[in-house]
Amino acid sequence: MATFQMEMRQQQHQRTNLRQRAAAVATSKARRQRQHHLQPESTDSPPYSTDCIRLWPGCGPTTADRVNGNPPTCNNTSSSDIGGNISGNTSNRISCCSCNFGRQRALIMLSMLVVVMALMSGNGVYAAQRDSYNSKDMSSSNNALPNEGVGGSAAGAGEAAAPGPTGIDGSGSGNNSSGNNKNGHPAAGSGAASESAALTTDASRSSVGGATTITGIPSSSLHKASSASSNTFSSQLASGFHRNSIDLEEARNAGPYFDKAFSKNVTALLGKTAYLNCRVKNLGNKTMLLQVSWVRHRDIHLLTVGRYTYTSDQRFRAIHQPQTEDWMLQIKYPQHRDSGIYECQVSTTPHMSHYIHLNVVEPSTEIIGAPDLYIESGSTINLTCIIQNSPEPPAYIFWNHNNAFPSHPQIINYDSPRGGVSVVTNKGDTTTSFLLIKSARPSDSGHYQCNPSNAKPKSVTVHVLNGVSHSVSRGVPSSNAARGTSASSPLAHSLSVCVPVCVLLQLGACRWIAALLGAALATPPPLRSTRRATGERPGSPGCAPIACDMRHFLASVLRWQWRWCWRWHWKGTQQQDPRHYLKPQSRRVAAACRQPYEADIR
Amino acid sequence: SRFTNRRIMFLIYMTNLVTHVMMDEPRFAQPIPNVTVAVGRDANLPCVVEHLGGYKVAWIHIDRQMILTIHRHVISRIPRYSITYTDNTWLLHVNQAHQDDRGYYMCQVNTNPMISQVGYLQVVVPPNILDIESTPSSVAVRENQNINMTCRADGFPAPKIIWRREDGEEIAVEKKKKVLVYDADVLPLTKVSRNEMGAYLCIATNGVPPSVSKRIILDVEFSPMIWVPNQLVGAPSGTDVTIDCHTEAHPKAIIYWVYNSVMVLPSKKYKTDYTENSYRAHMKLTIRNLQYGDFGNYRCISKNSLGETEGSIRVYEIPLPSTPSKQVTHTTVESRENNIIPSSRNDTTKSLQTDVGYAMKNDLYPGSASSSSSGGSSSAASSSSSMQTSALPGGVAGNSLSSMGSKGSLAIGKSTFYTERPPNEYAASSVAGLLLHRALLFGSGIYLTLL
Repeated sequence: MATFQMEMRQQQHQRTNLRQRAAAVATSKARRQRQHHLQPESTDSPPYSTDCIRLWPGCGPTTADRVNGNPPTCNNTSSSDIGGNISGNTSNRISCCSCNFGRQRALIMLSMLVVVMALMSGNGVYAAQRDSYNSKDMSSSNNALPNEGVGGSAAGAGEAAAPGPTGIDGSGSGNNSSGNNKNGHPAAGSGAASESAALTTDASRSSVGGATTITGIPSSSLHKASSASSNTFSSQLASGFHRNSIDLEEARNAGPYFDKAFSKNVTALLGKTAYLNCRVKNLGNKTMLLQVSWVRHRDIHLLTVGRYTYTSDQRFRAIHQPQTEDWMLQIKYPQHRDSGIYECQVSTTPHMSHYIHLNVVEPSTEIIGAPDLYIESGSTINLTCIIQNSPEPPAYIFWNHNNAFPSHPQIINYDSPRGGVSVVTNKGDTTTSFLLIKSARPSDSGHYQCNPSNAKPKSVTVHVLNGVSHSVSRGVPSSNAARGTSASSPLAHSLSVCVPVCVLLQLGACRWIAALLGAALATPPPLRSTRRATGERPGSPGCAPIACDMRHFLASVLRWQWRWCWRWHWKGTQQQDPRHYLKPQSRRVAAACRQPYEADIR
Repeated sequence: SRFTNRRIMFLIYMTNLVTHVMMDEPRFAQPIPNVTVAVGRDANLPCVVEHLGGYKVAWIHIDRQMILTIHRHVISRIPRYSITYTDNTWLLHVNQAHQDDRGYYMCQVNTNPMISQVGYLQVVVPPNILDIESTPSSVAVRENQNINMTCRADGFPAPKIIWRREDGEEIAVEKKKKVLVYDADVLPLTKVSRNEMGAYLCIATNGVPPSVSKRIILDVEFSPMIWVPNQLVGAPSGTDVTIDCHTEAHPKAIIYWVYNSVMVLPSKKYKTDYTENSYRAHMKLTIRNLQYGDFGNYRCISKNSLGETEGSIRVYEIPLPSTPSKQVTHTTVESRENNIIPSSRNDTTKSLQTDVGYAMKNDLYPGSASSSSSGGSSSAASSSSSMQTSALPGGVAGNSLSSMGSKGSLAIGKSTFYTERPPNEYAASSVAGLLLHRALLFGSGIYLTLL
């Protein structure tokens, strides 16, 4: 800069000394240069958008701009040559040479700076992607562990197949993403990043290995536990069977034993006589010595000994027919409190015992809809009677209806004088009887009684409503359930935070590169004119290719970065609108920058 | 009024009388006592019932859920049970009780509802020492070693075991704490010394006579030791002289005398005496009619299966004095020499023992040294592994941070130095560039932080 100013002053001095006219011409030329410099600023009201647009078309327009910028510089040089003498020419040449050298240096440094910036940002982004890739690997490995556990367990045979394909898909996607990253990045940066990534991968692998080892031990112990339990179970079964067979053989050989097929648990009806049977085989000639006794376990109450009834409760009685092996305990009028365990005991040494469980139940009768039923006139009366807890189906079920004369109930049957009456009875463990009366009339109102033979009767009151005006309409109750609000997950929050960060980063990079390229663009015109004047034509093709390569490189870097950012964002929050996070001031800039990439994204 | 009162009183009286007569129901006059019987003995359980009337009494063993008797009939086929009835008392006899007979017994009367009483029969078992699970009757142990003498016994209730010495001496247990009686199944003796040799009694008691005991003889074995009271003996020729040694050894040792590498056997010239008390022994050698050839070094030797030791006694000649003054002088010298020399010998022996102890310590030292060195190496390995583990993520983070910082500084320097522009434009553009650059760095930093 200093050298240039000194030379300018010398020129002015010479011109002033020789001619005033030349000085005036020089002044006017300087003014023209200033105007030319101001023109771009006035044209670009939003400077960044213009620079961005210039960046993206390609190298051709830029070259054209440079060619257009050359003529003023050439004119200036020629005019100086015409007006100057030999000494002036020499000084001009020297100044041109020095200017060229300085400018070349500046260009080289700028290019180096740009490369450094690109490498730095690229390296950071690539490392970030590596981290995400590693996290994916960890997640897949975490998924794999449960699969192994499930596969190890005996019950997981069917489930093991399902997760397999999912795991494979995950790993495939991971590989694809890593491949893309590698392909799109320079060699040096990729080398450094891959090295750091390798270290991280090793660390994660070691941790995963540890986890696998820790997880394996419980699974093996579980297997051992399950096998141990199964062994125990099988051994118990075997030993039980063995013992049972031995006992039977011993019993048959040695002395009396219980015939359990004829000595089973008893379910008795409340109030009806119950018989508990105990068949003792091989009692032999020892009948006079051995005694068969009945003992009630509730209070260890001795009931009978042989044919002698010890208890003074007259409800209990011993029944035994000579020449038979059955020793029965008769219980008259059994009550609920008589339920429990009764022991049939043979007075051998040691004594033998057989336990019989007595369950005293009371049949119950239920009518669906009791105690009151309301039926519209003209419709069908459907009464359902259910008899439960009955050891045997009832012999009969009577339906009684008393209307005007309660003291004289009428038995309803299919041959009733009313007509339109049918009775359907399903007998089983739970007996059900249906009474169907068609075309209900007000005279059909009254008490209906279901009277089974072995249970208490149950009645229901039927009200037949008269006329349509009296009908009761039942609406289905509509429950208005409030929908729960979905809580926002922290992952979405973090992803949403990422979007403005990406946008800011993109804008920052764009502005920075625009400034750099603007500076580079401002320099070339003088360089071009100087080179042509000095005759250095081989140098001019060297400059253009460098600029073109840099621009291509930067464009590819930015495209790649933006693409990655959007991909990640879409994976995280597909439903949300990305523009929601953009500020209104920067929307135009973002839209302008994004326009060239839409095709790539699609 | 009078007649009304009388009628009321009469009615009350008659009501009470009728009630009293009507209430003639069976009832238990007294509860069944809890009976304790030793196994094999007989036991009786009484059930006292008043106003039995036509009802029947039954005995039931609840634990076995077994019917024993009804009225006078024995239902159970176990012949050890029997029933007797005298004066409202139904007595259940259990002969030669077994442990299985232990439990609750119910006396039941067949009224409606049934009435019953319950009593407990406890069958106890005298203590019995289990030889298989106990220390044998004779046991040997090396001196300074540890030994646990065990004594197990069964019985009901579980018996209590105590230890004591047969000779009434105190027992040293738990770091040499002296006790006369020790209560435990296991008697722990640590660093047994020869004084603890003897007979020990293990006594088991559980309150049921008879108590039982077991005699265990403890032998403490050690190598022989010799103590020489006089190591230098002088006597004139022609007289008799007696030298002696005291020795301790167990098992019993072989003792003999050696003179000039020849074993001394009893003969006219030599007479040997040997008296022993437990593990101690006193050996004497009498040399008759001392001659010139008898003066010299005599050795007493004691040898047993664990080792051997010897003592040395020097016999020298004392010339007969011709004048009384000379005799007095010699006697004084002799006593002085006797007093001095034995002490020095004892010191030498003690120093030798000290050397032995030191050697033992040296033997122990290498082991401890090796264990400490192995511990150090293992700790070093663990620390190195932990360092590696911690270094990986930290190193990666540090590397990335440092690289970012360095690159930033380089960029700033280059941009500042090589930009060629007018002063005012230069300043403005450089400031803007710096801000953008820092914004970029900030964005990258956030990127990394989030990821």
